[in-house]
Amino acid sequence: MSSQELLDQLKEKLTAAESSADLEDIWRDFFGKAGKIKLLSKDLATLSENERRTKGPEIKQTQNQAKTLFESKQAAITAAEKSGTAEGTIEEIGLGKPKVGHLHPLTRTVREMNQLFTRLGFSVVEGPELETDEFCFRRLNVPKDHPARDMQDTIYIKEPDLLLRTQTSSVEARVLEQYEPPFKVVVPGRVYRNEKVNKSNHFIFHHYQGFAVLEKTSLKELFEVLTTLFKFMYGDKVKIRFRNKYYPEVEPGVGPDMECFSCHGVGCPVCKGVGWIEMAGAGMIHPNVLKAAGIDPKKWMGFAFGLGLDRLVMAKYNITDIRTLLGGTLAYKYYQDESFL
Amino acid sequence: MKVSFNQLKQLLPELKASPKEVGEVLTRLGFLADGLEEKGGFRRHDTIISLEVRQNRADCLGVIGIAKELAAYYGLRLNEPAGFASGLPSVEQPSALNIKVRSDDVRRVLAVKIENLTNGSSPEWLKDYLENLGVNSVNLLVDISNYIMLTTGYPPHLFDADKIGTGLVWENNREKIAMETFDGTQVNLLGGELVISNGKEPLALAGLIGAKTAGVTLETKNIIAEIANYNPSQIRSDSRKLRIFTEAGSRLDKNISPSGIDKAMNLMIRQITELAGGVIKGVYGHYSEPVGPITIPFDLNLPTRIAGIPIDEATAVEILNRLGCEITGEGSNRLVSLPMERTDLTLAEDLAEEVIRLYGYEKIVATKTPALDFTPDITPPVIVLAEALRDRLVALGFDEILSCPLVKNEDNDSVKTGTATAITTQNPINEGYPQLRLSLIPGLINQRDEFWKLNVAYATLFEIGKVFAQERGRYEEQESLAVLVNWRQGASAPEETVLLPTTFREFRATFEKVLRSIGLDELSYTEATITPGLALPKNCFQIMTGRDSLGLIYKLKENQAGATYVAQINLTKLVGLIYKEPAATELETKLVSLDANVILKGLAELDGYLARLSGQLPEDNIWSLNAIDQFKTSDGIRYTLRVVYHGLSDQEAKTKHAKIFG
Repeated sequence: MSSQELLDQLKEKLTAAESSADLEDIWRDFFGKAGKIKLLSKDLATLSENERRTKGPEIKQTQNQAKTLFESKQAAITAAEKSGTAEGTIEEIGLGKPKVGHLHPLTRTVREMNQLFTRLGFSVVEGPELETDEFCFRRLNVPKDHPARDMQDTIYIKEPDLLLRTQTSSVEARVLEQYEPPFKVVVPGRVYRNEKVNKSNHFIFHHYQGFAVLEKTSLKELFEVLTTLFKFMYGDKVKIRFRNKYYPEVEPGVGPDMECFSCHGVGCPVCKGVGWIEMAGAGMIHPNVLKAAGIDPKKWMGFAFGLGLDRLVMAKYNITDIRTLLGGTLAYKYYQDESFL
Repeated sequence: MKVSFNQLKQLLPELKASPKEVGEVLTRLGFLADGLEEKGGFRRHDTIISLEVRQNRADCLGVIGIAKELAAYYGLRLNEPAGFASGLPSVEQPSALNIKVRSDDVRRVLAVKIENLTNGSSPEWLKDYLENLGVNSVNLLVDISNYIMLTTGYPPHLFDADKIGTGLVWENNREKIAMETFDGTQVNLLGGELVISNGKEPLALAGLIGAKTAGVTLETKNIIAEIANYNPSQIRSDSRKLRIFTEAGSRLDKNISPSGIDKAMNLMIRQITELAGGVIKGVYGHYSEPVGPITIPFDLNLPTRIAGIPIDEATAVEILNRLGCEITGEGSNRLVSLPMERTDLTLAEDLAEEVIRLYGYEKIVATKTPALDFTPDITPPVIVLAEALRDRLVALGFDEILSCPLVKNEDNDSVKTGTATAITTQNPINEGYPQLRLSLIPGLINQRDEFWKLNVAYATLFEIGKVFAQERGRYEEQESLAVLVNWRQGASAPEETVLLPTTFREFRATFEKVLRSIGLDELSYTEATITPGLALPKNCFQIMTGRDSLGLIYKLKENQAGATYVAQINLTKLVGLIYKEPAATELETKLVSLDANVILKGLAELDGYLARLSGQLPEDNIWSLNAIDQFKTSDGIRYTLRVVYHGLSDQEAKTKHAKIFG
């Protein structure tokens, strides 16, 4: 059988092959020890040197062509067989428990509060953390010589004009300046105070501010907003009281307290024996604050409130060190304890 | 402030309430009672109420002020102590006092000289009174002065008249000088402090503390007693500067009315002459700007409007009368004359607050969800965008962190790329962390390092927050997003199978997926021309959308087994591109937006026109220039251009605008 006849025969067999088993038979028949390809070179040793020089390369070329034909068919059959079968176990493929991402506890809390307030028709606004004296203090009716303006309390970039905001009320001043009333706004944000850092104090706090300027509103509506907020946060059974308090940017001022969740009003170390826990600062927006933004206090009224988020979040997530909230190993807790969030 | 319940009962003989009830009432009225303490045992039992006095209620820094509040609340008669009367003290044997006031920070001084008195030990009632309030008994004269301060809110000061030299001068100190206080503390005056001197040396830091030189002792026979009133800012400034915090200073750094000084002085003279004897030999008075009673027009319906519940006019009048106001006029609009001591009342709204708080906040019942008027939504898109990004990153397995915005100088040096410089705080909390962060990436790396310490194999973190920079004299802050992926060879893998990017290509694809999902269709990358020190230069690329660079994506240049990939983009800029809003926030100046109309042939001409116009506009004052509208006219297309100026007043911007557009 000539080399060409042999290759034609191989092609015919390979075309008919459908499985790896068929390929094994063909391999034995053509490439095995007694295979037809092998036999081509059997009589080579009996030829003269000149004949070998001519015949040898011819046989080699036929063998290579045969091998290429076989491998090509083998690849096609392997791929076809693989496409219809499993590729590995669950572990091998990576379909185990997926990596779960987490929001920071402060973000989660802010989101929950934002959801409540957007349902009540409030917009969510942020504002600059680098703030001017005018918007952080003057526009909020804080007198020029107020202790809050001292360097002991405020971190300055360029005293006395540029500073890191000490309260999110500065955003209230900016919104009053920038927008025509009416509006209802909440402001979650970071504030800075010149305080030493330890387990329970930080120079960075997170505030949640809210305010509304409407043609008609009242302390009653403010109390309703705050009651709704505290019930949303602590449940319907929460007991709240409102007392008079002084803040320069509001008049009248209000201090909302929640009955101590630990002692229920009796007095304990948690509430420092008072029976109540101070929750926020609030009040009706001072007419001077409206006037400073060019808003006529005879036509418009407003209320405002603000509360700190850090302690609230710490209590909610059982965080004992305030420093952990910023760049500590909080994210690692996500790995350690799924019930953490 | 601590208040003796026994003393309250003396001032309000008809008071029936218990100390606890009194504490609760005062709390509702604005004076948080944060403690009740039983004192004195059987001998002289008292209950001490600890109160937080509102910062603007300087009239309540003595027990009499608190008693007035309770009298107004309960409708009780106030039994003022004998001697607590207006008018200058009567002088038995007048002689001139050598006293001068040479400072504008002094509003009022009332001083008397009392001679031939006998100092000694205080009577038991006075010792017990002070002890119960936490004040040590020193000697009779000092104890009386403390009693007057605690009772009236006006801190007196007593000088031994035989030790002061030639006289007393109220002046602002002009030199650096040391002073030894009566308790032996050395104070170094720096200049500018308000002092009471004898012309040669300070005898007291006015309103804060006396010097040892002229202090009263058991041997003192003749005194000059003064009660004064100062510019509160000066007292607060001196107190903070010298770190001297006293009971007197905590009162005189507030806006106490100077009007009540004579009543306090008369009460003190009565106590001194009754208990220590002595003869009044001279009186000195300085009153820079005496003011009469202030009158405010007041609509009696205002309390109802502010409270949101009906408070009838008669009730409002009755409450104001109980507070010592005099009301004249008829109908709803009245004139209310205020008690002199109420320096906190200046507006009709202040009076409304008085009516509402005495009527009772507890009567404003909030039982339902508020039905507030509709208002338009002004939530800026960057907040919506940030929330969307958080959701997507969490869904891809990233954990959110928040890091400290104040960083080390080297943190900023390691991420600096352009001409913007870091902003340094003037009075940093920690000298090691004086700068505001230029980037969120060092914060993410710090968190990753925490993970390393805990032998965690993978970290997938992100932060959304502000970064700050100073450029060409402008201070700016931008909302940014940064993400970090770190895998570490050899560390133990977490329990769950982690399907996270472990190559730069995979990281880029993941981050790109996030950006595309929030609507950023056009994304490309170019090699960064300036790379941050942290980055591996060959693996640092600018993230582009169109011609705009949003930020950088790079591999950290670190010699460790594993790899860390980071990316940071400017959300303030991104939101401007997605929502077509202005990109950045100018902090120190406002933006002035002005429009102008031009008629051109079409878009091709517009491009050339805008290019020429850019050359004419004052570069330092231009925030943005955009064509915002077009309208076809018979002459061509009328384009409305909006120029936003910054660093200019309205008028300056209008002038420049008119000059350019005619």
